Amino acid sequence: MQVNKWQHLILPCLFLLVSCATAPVVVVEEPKTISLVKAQTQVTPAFNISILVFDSGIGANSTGQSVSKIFPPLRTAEADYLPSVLKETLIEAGHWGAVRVVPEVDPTAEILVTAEIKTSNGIDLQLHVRAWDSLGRVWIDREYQDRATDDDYDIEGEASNDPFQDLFNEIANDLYLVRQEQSAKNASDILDTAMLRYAIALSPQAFSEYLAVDEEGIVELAGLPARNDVMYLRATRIRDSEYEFIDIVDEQFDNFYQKMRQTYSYWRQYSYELTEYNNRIQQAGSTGKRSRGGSWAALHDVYKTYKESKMNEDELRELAASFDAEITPTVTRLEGTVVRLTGSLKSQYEEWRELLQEIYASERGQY
Amino acid sequence: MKCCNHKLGYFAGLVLLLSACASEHQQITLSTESPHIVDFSGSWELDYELSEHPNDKLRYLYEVARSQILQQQAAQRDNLKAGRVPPGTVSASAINTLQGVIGLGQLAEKITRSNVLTIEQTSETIAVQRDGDFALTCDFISEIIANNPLGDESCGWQGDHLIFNVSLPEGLNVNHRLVLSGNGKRLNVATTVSSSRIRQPFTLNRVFMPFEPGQGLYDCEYTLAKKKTCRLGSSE
Repeated sequence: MQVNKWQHLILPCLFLLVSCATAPVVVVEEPKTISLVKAQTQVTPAFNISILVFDSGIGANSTGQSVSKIFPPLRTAEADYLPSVLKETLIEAGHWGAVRVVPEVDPTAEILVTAEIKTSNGIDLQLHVRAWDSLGRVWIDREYQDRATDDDYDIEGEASNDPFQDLFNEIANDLYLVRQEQSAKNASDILDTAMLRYAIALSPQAFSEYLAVDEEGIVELAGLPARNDVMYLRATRIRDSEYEFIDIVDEQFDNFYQKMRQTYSYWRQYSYELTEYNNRIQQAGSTGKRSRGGSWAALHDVYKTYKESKMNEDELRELAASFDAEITPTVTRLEGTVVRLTGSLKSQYEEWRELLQEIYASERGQY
Repeated sequence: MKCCNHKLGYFAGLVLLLSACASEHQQITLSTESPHIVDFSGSWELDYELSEHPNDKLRYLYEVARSQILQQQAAQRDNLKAGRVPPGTVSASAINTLQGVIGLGQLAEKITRSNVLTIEQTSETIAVQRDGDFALTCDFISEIIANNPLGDESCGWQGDHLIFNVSLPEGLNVNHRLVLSGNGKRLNVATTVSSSRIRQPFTLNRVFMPFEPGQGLYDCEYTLAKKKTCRLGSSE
């Protein structure tokens, strides 16, 4: 009889336990929202940041095998596009001097930032970001990732934010954190070293003695040329010309960014929808909750979304090809002479660099 | 007529061969290299005479299925008359299959609407531009299979045939097989649409013939600033 008494309690408990055990455990991951830390007061000195076009990440995956045959043209376009999103974010933060996108490593850079695209498919963006100062000290060397949500794509028009704005905000905030840690002496060394690095690139014999590089590539300032050193002043003037040139190149990246923005956001949205659709089907398959799925109409819907996505991919491919084909010749003034450079931005940049070195060398009587 | 009959005969053989190959729902082994260099490049327009028309094919399949159903119903009646137990509802699965084929056929019709192909091919890549549709592209250097959010896409050579394949959600699979005729004057694009829900795939053969581009009314150009712009071409 004692047992019967307990039965009244055991059975409801069992039901409770069973119902708890069979209920699906839903882990709701809160979407990550990271606000951009904006400048309240002007940080001095304000470092210039050069963002090198990103590494597309094409060619090798973690196992060293080549990956993805469909995406290379898109990835190439993304490698030119995403740096501009970071640039816009850094400008909005307001902690920095000039922020530019450059096609080649910039020897004048006070802070150089670049990234490798690990994943980019509309639902996930993963970048490995590296940033250094002119002294060779690493500011950032880590992976950033963000996952888009429906809200991120609940947008219309060109004025909307990037669906992965949180990721770019996080990079910008991290750079600012490192900037805050810099002492006044460090900050001054970064500026002087950037200038000296540039001067060394023009004339190693004249300026190499001022910088010492240790085994890890960290630069130490061994001294500075005299303030009235003629060659140093000349190098400073040539660097100003270089800045002007980089600004012109940067404008072309900016144009591309503006043109690509809308098409790219549509492509990412289609890509997001298809991935989400896949996920929903997988989840619904286990619970038997399919709505339109399973019907012929669903099949047509799937193909329609795929087709739209692929057509956007085509447009992006054309955009990327046009960017290369339509790079305008750069016309600028250098030492009173009009210079016209043609070809890809990378080759224009190399040609410009050679031109500056020639001018500098001829002035010094090295020819 | 002799020439046309010969041509039609050749085409019918080609179509049958392709349909047989394409309708087998099997794992295809693709290669990045073709044993012979097959050059698809150029401008191609639809040869209406040799191409299959989706509605005709659907009508044909409908008639075949209907006749099968009628035969089965007649066999049932005979069984009943003879006092034998009928083997069950014979027409339900046939009707389901028919509905499925029609569903796939309608989708195949949407997928194969392009009447003009412009193909650019190098030893490393191929891009099949289709008017009003997205381009089929293949990079012969990279890996064969690309898993991306859109689906599992693959492309490559199977002998002299160039294959593009995509597996999408809902078990949808679309396969394009490009085959050049021996004299290089015709290009057959066999598009097979299949679904995990139905055993029988639907294949549509569209045959293209070469034409000289640049004689059209419009010259189109794609620029960053204006995107695609077309203007009237010269009358020369």
